Parts: sequence; C-alpha cells; structure tokens
Amino acid sequence: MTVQLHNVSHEYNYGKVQALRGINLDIRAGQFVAIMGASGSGKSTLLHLIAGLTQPRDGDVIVLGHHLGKLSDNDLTLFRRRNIGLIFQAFNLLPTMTALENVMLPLIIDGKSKREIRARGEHLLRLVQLTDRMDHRPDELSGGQQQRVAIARALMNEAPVLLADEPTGNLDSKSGEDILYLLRELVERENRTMVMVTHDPRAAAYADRIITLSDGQISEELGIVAEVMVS
Amino acid sequence: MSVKHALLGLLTENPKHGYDLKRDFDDRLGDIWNLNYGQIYTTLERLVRDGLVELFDEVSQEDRPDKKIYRITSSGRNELRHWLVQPLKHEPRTLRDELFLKLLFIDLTDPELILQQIREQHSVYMAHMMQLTNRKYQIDGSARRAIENTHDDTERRRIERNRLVSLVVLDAALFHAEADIRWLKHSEARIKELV
Repeated sequence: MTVQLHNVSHEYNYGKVQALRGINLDIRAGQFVAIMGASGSGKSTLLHLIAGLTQPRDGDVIVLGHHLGKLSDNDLTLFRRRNIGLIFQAFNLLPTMTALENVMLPLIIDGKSKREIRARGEHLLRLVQLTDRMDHRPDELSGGQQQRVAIARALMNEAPVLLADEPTGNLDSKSGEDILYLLRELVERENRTMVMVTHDPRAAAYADRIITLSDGQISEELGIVAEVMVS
Repeated sequence: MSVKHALLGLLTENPKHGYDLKRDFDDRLGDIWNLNYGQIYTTLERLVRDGLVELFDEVSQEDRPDKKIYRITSSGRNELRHWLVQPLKHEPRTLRDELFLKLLFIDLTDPELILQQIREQHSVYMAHMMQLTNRKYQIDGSARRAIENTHDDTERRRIERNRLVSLVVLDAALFHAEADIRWLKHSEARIKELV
C-alpha cells in the first residue's frame, strides 16, 4: 500500500474546528484518487497530512511504509523531497528562472549540479510537450504551460507519489482538460500514485477512484473498472 | 435528431447493409444515442421509397434471409447537403426530471427522504461521468497512437474526424451530467435551508 491513513483525526484552532474525524484510507500504488468535498470539508487537510506538511492530532499516516509522525523534522523534509511531488493551483514557479531551471530546482536544492541533471529536465519538458519553451520565463508562458512546467518539476525527483491541490483551478476548461489528460497518462505510463484534491466533478472524473468528504468524514466512495479499450 | 440523415451520412462513405450501419453509428454516437435495428430498417425502407437510397446488392446467406446492401442516390446526396446547411432549431430542450414531481408530493417534514434520493442521484451522475471520461481517455489515446502510426494523410484525416466527433459527443454528455450534479447540489442546499 502506498498511502495508509489509520483512524486519522485533525483539528484546528485548539479543537474548535474539527477538520477530519477518524479517517481510514488505503491507496494502492498506481492509483489515481480524487478527493472531493465542499469548502471546509477537510480535503486540503487530508492532502497536507499525506504530504507530511501537517501532523494529525490522532491516528497514523503511513506513506511508502514510513510512519510520517515518527520521522524527525530533518528526515521528514528529506523523505518529502525524494518521495513526494507537489502540484498546486497557483503553479508556484520562480519568476526569475526559465522553465528548465524551475524544473531542475528540486534536484539543485538536493545538491546536484545543473550539468548532471539538465538532460533529465529537458526530457521532462519534452514529456509535457514544452520542447520549444524550455528557455521561457513563467510570465512568457500561458497558464496551462506554467502548470505543465510545475508538473515536470514535480516529476524531477522521480517521486512515486504525486499530490495535486486543485491543479486545474486557475485554467480554462480546455487547458484544464489537457492537464488532466497528462496527469492520468503520467500515472499510467510512469506508474505513479496520484492524489488530487478538487471540487470540480469533471476533473475528479479523470481519477479511477473518487472519495468525497463531508464534515471531515468519508461520505462516499466511487471507483471505476477499466473498460476494454475500443479502437 | 434525424435517423434519416444519420443513415444518409453513413452511406456517403460506401454502400452498407443494416448491420454495418448499426456498427458504424454505434462507433461514433453510441455513447449518447441508442439506435436499434428496428429504427434502422424502417428508416431504410422509407429512404428507398423516397428514392434517397437504393438497393445496391443482395448477398445470399445460409439459413438466413439475403443480406441487402444499400447505397445513397444522387437525390439522397442532395437531401443530405441541404440538411447540413439548415440552421439548428433554436428551441431549448425539454427539461423534465422526476425530482420535480417528487418534490410536489413528498412530505417535507422529513427532508431526509428527499435528501437521500438527491445524494444517491448525485452518485449515479458522478459514476456516469467517470465512465464517460474513461471512454474519452481511451478514444483519445487510441486515436493519438493510430495517427502516430499512419503515414497516409487521408487515413489520418479520417481518424482525426472520428476522434473529434467522439470527443464532442462525449463532452456534451459530460457537461450535461456536470450541470445535473451542480443542480442537485444546489437543490440539496435549498431544501436544507427551507426545511
């Protein structure tokens, strides 16, 4: 199991806001899971817990066999850097860097030289169909292209787990769809595990499993059996 | 939608018999439009009667009636061309949902009854959207691969056209399901507020 949550509860504001209540969830390797729910339902909290950005008040979060609550701060940072790729609604690219430099950033932070990682950065930008935009800065790219750079960046450290928070929230309908197609293709081709938070039913429908949260609890779960491909 | 024009359109490609027409139609529009053999054969009879389609060949089959192969006539091609340039009807489609009726008669002192139905219906639409999206993803993927593997421009254009039609049709179904989901969510909030 790639991600396991055992009886996880979390609260904010000294217990005044109960964000999650007794969540049990198993996510297998290679699954594309969408987490849906209204604002305040706890879906972003759930993503932050899996990313190790927040520790739960109760219960265990186990990612790739590691109990995140038992790791030291340093180990947790290292674990996240090597195993988790994050994709945000706001892209979060550095404006002064080119697309290629943004993509290479996670490994530059990890102490690798640009020379040794350049080929991988270029390969990933080709993978997200930005071959001719490698030297462009974020303000020279469309929203959809910026999100593609952010996806390539999330893949740079070869993280087996990708976490996306409303990845199409800032994009028009068609660009958003292209991003979702790309994410699903990456999950399948590169055997990644993807957890995506979204409030958009059309985005969620790209997943092979949809979990809906209401008031901090799982209120509904849907899955799909892959259809036989029709040419 | 017009079965007559759908069959005329399919017959412009090449002569076909009823089974071919059903298969070709399902390949392209089967996700949203269930056309049965009965409709195909009665429409073919009418098209022959009106001179828009003619019998092209009859192939004898063992233990079964002869297979009739039809082709489009020049009048049929004119009719299709005329229909293609006609403006669409500018009328909103009929909006009818069983929920309207239930709301009229259900006891709203126990709102959980109707809210439960709304939640169940929501799951049905969401599962439907997953299936449609899965189908769209598969069609898109196999079209992309087929285009990569062909060097024939005519074949490439044919694949592109079929891909476009399938995606547009599936998108229509997806946008409608999404609208239904949004409407159900909105209605749920409205009922909770009223009761």
